[in-house]
Amino acid sequence: MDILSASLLLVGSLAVLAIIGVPIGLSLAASGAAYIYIINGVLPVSGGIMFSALDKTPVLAIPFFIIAAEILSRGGAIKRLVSAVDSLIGHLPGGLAVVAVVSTIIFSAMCGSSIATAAAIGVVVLPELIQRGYPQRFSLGLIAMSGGLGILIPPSIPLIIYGLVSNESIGKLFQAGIVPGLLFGALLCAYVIVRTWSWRETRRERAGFAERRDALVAATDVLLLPVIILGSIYGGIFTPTEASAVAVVYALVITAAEYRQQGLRRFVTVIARGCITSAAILLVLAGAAVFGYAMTDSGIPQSLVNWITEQKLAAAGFLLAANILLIFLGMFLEVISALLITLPIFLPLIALMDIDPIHFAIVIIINMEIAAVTPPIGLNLFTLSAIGNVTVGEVFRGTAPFLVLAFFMLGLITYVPEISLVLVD
Amino acid sequence: MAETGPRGWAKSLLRGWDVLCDGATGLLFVGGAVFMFAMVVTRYGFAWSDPSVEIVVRYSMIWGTFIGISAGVRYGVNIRFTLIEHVLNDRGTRILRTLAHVVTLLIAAALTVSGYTLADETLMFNEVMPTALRWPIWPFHVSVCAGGALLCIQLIRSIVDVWRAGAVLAEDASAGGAV
Repeated sequence: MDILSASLLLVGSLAVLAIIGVPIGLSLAASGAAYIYIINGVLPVSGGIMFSALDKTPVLAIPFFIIAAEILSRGGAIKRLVSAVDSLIGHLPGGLAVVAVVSTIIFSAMCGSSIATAAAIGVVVLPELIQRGYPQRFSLGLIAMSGGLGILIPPSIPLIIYGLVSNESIGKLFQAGIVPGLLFGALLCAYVIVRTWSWRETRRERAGFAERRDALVAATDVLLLPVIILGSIYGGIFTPTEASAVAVVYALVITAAEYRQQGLRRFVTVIARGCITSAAILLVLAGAAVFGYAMTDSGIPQSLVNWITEQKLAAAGFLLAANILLIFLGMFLEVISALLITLPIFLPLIALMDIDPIHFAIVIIINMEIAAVTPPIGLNLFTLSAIGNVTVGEVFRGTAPFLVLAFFMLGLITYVPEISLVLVD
Repeated sequence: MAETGPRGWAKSLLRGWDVLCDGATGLLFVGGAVFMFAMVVTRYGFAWSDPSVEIVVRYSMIWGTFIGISAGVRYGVNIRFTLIEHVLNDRGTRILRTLAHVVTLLIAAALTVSGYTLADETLMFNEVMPTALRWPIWPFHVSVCAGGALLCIQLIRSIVDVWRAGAVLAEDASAGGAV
């Protein structure tokens, strides 16, 4: 089959299946399987590829981090975390808005998902922000945007997936996310402080010693979790997979008292939700493996590499084009799908361009943060719309000023690779 | 009041089936995490570890994934593109969703056949794990077939649900809980 026919078959069938609403994981698998069947005349290969894609130990980190985040966010841990941060810095300029960003940064170090971070922080902080007098639109935008830190600051599910597909070290990818994550968090805090400088009525009274002590004691176990996860990974004690299993058990232990109050039924629901969400994400990973196999077999990535070579495109130009493509795809696809569809094409190209794959991973992640808050398919917008009981459009209007910061950050990360690579060996 | 008779039994049976699927998914994932944690504790606490645990956990996660896919359809958490549904009226949404379910059903049927052939071949050639465990691999390959079959059953139910009189279409989470 020639390249054009293969491209039409793979991309065309994927587009048709996805548009009519077939789950993305199965759309990817079906498109890839159709190609394999036409070329080789065998069907069992696809099932075997899907199985093999999941039969890797690092994949375990994906469901385990998702389940841990689900347990923590429904088990009262976030409330304790926010109270502790609020008692420490809630009286400073920026007040609760800065508390929201700082809490998001800390929670991001336990949770690898953007939408889970936005939901967990949003449920606790959004009503409080509005009660303290912050404009609703501003509050919605702040939480929707800062939720994106969940996939930049390690552990990060998209970075694990990137590592699995590209064979890059997941530990190094996690390291690469730290500085950009903290930098973006600092940028959000700075913007919030400037924007809310005159909103003195939103600041709380300075907390007394006893309140701070009690809040910190109550949140100690939660604050220890990022230390355990990241400390153990970078201390060379645990692998990311082992750290994720420890996170699940630790999350179960520190939220046990809360779940005892909520009841067994609620606890089972939370666990089932986390597991089923994990299955949905792993299905995309398995389906993408079939699609990726077909892509590679068809020679499409190699043809693109040859074409780019002929065009003599510089790395800067390629990165710009990649960013535009990712922003466009991100408007319609969620993070995992966009990542898995584009990676088989991007990986040979970045090798050709001599772009560091770890740096490129962070560029993709910032794009995906932007994707999470851009309509029509901005999942953080949907999440905040549900939490705040407002329209998606209202959330987007609130997010718009923060998007400017995100684009600035994207430019910075794209063209200053040292920011991503400073901690990587 | 609870329904009685065959209709009531069918509902109870389906509810029990759903609970079984959800429970199995939860047990396979969380059980895997706990096993993995236990291995970490014994490895670092008692300088003893059994690498087989990691393999068993991996396969329990694979079984959990394939069982969980059908539950994902039931809860509307499977990642899918829903923009077109949002711009259609109620009838249009039902038609499009039915089309999506029917096409997904065909894909699920193909997945079932693919999984069955895969398991059948590994059973025929008596393939074992390439590890110290030396367990036969076909019971794990069956997960692909079982997942496909469970998905087929769920999709038939979902198609019926879409057209059930008075049924309100659940707002699909699009990628609820996704990353």
